[in-house]
Amino acid sequence: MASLAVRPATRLSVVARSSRMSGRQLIPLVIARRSVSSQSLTPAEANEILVKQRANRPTSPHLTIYKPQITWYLSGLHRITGLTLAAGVYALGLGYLFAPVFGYSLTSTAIASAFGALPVALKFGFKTLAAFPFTFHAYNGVRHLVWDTASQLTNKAVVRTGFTVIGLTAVTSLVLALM
Amino acid sequence: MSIRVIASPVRASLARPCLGLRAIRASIPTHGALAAPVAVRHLGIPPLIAQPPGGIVGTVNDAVKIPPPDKLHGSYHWTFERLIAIGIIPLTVAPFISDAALAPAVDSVLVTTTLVHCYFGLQSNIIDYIPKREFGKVHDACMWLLLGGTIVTGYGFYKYETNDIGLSGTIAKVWKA
Repeated sequence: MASLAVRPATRLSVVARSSRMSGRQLIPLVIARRSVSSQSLTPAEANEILVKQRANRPTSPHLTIYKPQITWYLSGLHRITGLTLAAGVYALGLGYLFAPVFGYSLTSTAIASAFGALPVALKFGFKTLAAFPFTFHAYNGVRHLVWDTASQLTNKAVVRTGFTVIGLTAVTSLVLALM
Repeated sequence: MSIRVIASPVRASLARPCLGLRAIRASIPTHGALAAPVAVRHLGIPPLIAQPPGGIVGTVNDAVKIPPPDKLHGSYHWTFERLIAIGIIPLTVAPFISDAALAPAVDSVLVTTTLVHCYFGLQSNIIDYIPKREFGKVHDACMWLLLGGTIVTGYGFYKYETNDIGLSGTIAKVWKA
């Protein structure tokens, strides 16, 4: 039975195919052929081409398309303020040691007099710019330490503590800048 | 069981019933000027070590090699980091509210704690942005540079503390200027 079922089907398909084929054979087919050239490359040379091509390819956006959220904004800001403060600390320590090599002296009187000579608005601006990273990093650091006690780890608590840190930072840096 | 003599690596890849990944991977240079970084998130200025495709070291059946457990760089490091961070909190205000005789000593403690805190923080940044897997020797050089820089900065602050008025003194002076 199985063999009987197969044969007519194949015959039909063969018939169908042959009729199609005969129709096709009546129309002359013109195929334009391009000659393809190839060159032999060593694996190292092929890799070189690959590296060069990768430089021409675009990369997918990531930070630019991620939904702004207080979680990763504050996390990034914590890192950036930390790096800024560390740069300042290292600059002061190394600068005090190596400034005389370049003909400058970084004593506290020199820094204070240079800062005092600035107009009041600029002094206020600089003080705010210095106070903001310090206060934010300090308050957010406390937030991190709270998380290390396995507390305030729900989404709501993270948002709540995040906005608290932002509020405290704004108030404290303003107070410090006005001092 | 017939003993098959495999003469060349190409023959070996054909004889094995697998995808022949070894032959393909063997042809991609993994070190040197022709190294191909798989996904360059950064400028890639120093020659980066090419990563194996899919991050697979060895074959797909090999277990991932994890570093051996080390309490000094693991849990003790974490605890010490948090202790330093907690210690810094009162120290940020202490030098400004202590009397003139004690202020340099308190300020020295603040500077030391701050430098250790900065050292740990910058170490994390090097591990994140200059990973050893991609940068190799440059990563090690950065770590040693950080350690050396921290020690030299510590010495600089020692000089600043003894010859001048220290970190909190400078901040107070500049703020009032």
